[in-house]
Amino acid sequence: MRLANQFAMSNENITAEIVEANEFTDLASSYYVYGVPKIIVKSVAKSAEFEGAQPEHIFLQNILKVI
Amino acid sequence: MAIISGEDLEFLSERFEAELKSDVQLRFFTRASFSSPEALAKAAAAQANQVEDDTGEIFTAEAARVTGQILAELATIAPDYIQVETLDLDSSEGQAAAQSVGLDGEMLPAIVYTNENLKGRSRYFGLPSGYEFGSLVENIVDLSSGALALKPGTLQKLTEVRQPVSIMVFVTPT
Repeated sequence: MRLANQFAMSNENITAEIVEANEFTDLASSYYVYGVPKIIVKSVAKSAEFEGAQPEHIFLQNILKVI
Repeated sequence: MAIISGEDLEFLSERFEAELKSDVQLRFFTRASFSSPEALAKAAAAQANQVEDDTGEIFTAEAARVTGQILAELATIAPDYIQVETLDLDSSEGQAAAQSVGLDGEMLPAIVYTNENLKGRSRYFGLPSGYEFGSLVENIVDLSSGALALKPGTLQKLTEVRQPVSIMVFVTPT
């Protein structure tokens, strides 16, 4: 997932983690992953999520939602 | 037998030669025991349907072995720019290395990217095959070339991120 890495490149507070869902099934089910890509954006206090190969502005919106 | 060969190898060689500009270190977290004679015997038995992989251990070991091979082959294609450091979670050094980058050491295999153009942190958990192999290559090229594909407006907005934020992306290989 190129965009997640791009966001991590751009800001020292961002961590991008790509997780192969078939391999980490427990983690995937704990986030109710039924379709991929599924993206979970989290800060200490808040989280947001969305599905599908979304454009940059949707990623950004969700990042801004949790800060 | 090589995983990356033929046209793929040719394409990657040309692309890396044209686009890589700075060192990318791939810190590869795995376990030495994933490649032990016992693990290989289990994998062979599973392939022959003689044993069940109830715990997923055989699958994980196989994913780690293949990931290690993919990374080694990538490093061979661009030895001047791509370095692979293998860290063994069966050892205390490997455990310490995992801790130092904030990994629990349980989610394996894991790849942690290190590069001067990476301000935050970027990792991959699992076997990067199929479509995700393409993403791995894109990430290496983006990091090494320092190419920022984000729009100026996005970069401006990102300056508002002053607390830790994690973006976790669940993917499947195809």
